[in-house]
Amino acid sequence: MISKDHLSNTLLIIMITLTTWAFWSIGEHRLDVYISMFVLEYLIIKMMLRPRRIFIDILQIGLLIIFLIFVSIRIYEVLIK
Amino acid sequence: MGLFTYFLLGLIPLTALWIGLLITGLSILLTPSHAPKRSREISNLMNKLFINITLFLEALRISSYNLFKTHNDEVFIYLSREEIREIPKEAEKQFITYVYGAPLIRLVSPINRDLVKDFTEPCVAIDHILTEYLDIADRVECYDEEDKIMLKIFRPLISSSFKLERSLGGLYGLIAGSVYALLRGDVEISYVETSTDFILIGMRIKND
Repeated sequence: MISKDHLSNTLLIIMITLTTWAFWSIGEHRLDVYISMFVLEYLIIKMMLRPRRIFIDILQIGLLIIFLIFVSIRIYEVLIK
Repeated sequence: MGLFTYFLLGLIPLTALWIGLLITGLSILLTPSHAPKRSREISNLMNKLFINITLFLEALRISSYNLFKTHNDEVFIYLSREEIREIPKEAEKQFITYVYGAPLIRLVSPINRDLVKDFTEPCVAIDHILTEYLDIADRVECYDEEDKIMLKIFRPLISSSFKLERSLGGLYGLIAGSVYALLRGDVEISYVETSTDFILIGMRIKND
């Protein structure tokens, strides 16, 4: 039986590949949209499957910071228009 | 191949794909390849402790019936070779008492009210203790039907001796029984099945 740790990594790569294909097929050319989606997918998998980590999940913290930066830029763009 | 992908996808989707692969790579890098250190330490401690208990139970030929009962905020595990119908008053204070000639052993469970104070559902509490607090299993599934409960614990990391599994369901049975005793009432572990991928624990609530 596949462990939740390996299942989470397998699901992550499948979801990232599918997301890239889906956005590419609709002609999306904004890098932050791709990355934001990857971050959301990572966080959802982390929340649902709770995979083990060697120590604190620095990847999650890093991705969350990147996501917040992207969201802040978008909000700023909307506000200054 | 690289040029073909570049011209087919374009720069942005290709860069995004590489970033995605980087995230997956880091996720794999952060995934431990073996059981966590704390689990291994607990495993060694528990195994040594269980060997002693098993030898003791063997000496008294007790391995048939158990009852998990809550007194105040602690759980006591009663073991006997005869079916435990009621607990005599003196048994609540003594380590060993004799009921109709059969010895009745009282053990104190390591699980107490403090560990489950934030929970009302036993299954959620067991899942929390096994997967988050001790990190010795992947996940837990529970099946309830009136007073019968069946627990399936996936990918258990700690193995107990056969004798102890038969008497109180091993470490996992001890935790599950204690949590149910705290949140639901007196409980008896009646069935344990072990395989490499899961442990199946059958329990019965005894509130008569």
